[in-house]
Amino acid sequence: MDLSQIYREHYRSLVRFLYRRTGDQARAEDLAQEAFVRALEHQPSRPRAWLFTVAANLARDEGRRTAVRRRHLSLVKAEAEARPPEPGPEVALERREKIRRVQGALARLAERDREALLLWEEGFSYDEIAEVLGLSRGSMGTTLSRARTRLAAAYAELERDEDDVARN
Amino acid sequence: MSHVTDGALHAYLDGACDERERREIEAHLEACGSCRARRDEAAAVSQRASDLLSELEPLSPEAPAWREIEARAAARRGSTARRSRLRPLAWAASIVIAFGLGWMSQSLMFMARSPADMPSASAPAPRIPAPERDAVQAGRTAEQGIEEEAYTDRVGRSVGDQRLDDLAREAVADAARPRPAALQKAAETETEERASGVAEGAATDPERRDAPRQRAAEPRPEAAAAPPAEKTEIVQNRRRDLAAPFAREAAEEPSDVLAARRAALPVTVTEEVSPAEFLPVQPAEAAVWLGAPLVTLPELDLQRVEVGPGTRVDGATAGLPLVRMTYLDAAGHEIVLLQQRIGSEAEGEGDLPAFRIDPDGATSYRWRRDGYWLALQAALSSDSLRSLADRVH
Repeated sequence: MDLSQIYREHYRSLVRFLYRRTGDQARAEDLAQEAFVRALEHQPSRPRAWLFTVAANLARDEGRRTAVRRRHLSLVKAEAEARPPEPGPEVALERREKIRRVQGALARLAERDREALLLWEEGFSYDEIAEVLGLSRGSMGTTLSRARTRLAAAYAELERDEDDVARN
Repeated sequence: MSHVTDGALHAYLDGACDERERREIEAHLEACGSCRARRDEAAAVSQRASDLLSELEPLSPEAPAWREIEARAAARRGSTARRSRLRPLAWAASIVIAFGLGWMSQSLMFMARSPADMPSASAPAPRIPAPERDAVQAGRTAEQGIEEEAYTDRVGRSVGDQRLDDLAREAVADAARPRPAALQKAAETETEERASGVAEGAATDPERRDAPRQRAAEPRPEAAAAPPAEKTEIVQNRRRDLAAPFAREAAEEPSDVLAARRAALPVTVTEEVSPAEFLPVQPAEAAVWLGAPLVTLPELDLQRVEVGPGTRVDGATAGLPLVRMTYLDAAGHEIVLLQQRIGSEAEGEGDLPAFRIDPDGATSYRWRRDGYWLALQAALSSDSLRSLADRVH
């Protein structure tokens, strides 16, 4: 097993998973590198699943130590402002708002549901997600159904609430 | 005709069904208009979720060169090896100092006491002078330090750590030689005083009334020579941090006061019925948050009760308060009992009871009971956790 190849193939995916999980890109990159450092120490036989398992645990521990949701809002705003300039100020503002709402909607999911959904988006199969999260394979469909439905509903609710505030 | 469940529809759309399941679902969809509509809705929801998540794309992360990762791992291995080489020296120095303190305290005691000062059956129990109390306490914390080492055995140890254990056990065995009767009596006296203090505290707190006082009343083994100073401090700090919020002796408050406190607690942006962070509370207040009496582990030593948001725990439900109770077993291992109301039937189905093993070796066991989900987290084997779960009531 060549970990350097795994690193080249999956580093970006791991960072994206952690960024969506934590809302902080710098922290996501640090945690991703930490996961690979630990992989060098442990030499897992199934590195991809192992790396994401460790990453999920690191992100979970990170969430317990800090007020993650409030940081999400401020950091997402800061990172959105650091993005390449969008055409027109109104479009840029709308995009920043959308990012903030998606982060807020994600935060409303149960932790396990959120991680299952993020792993699916990173190309993991049902079997692999079940292995990473320690769940039964048979419950994956239900878990993802619940996660997707709640994400969409939470986003719609946040959008509606903000529209109500804007009108009033 | 039984319809296709939402979970099965999503698995079908995700291509995660086996051949037999896929054929059955497709046959049903051909015949059932409502399930076809639900399939289309599920497809739309799935696409919507993907579209939303695609908004969260990090700025192009530039991966450091692989050699930097290797260097970081090598540096960590090096610092671990250095700590392992220095630890025996620190242990040895601590043992020498503590032996000296113990020897001096014994010398002072024998110089100060005459036969007339020795305790008798009718005299009141003497107060232990500070140097002797420190020696006894050092012995207790040495034992706690060794128990802490035994705990860390579960999560892997280095050769250096094994050497520390050997040194500690030698120190304990060395100090277990027969002690002068006066010093033994002083240790037993302090144990009795501590036990009576625990009993008084338990009388005002119904939760602590159920906690085992027997463990606190048992006389500790003979004072050992020195614990390593660093580990003693770590264990003491940890115990103090766990116990501090619960050390307050509070009478039960009326329900309207509890409700007012609950209303005054900070809430999150996204959750309106939970504190934003885990907050230490009295058990009665935790039961108010939970909406039901707390389940407990009466055989263990309850350290702390907290209420927090469901999103802070793997698998818990966002939007519902989660009660976290921290216990210590007889060996000083931390055991966490979580409980939360199940928000809907959809959450209650599927995969419980279940075990989860983290890469660092910690195990958690989760199960359902009467509309609530419960979880035990501890560095224990699966069988031990399951056995412990049977004792939750």
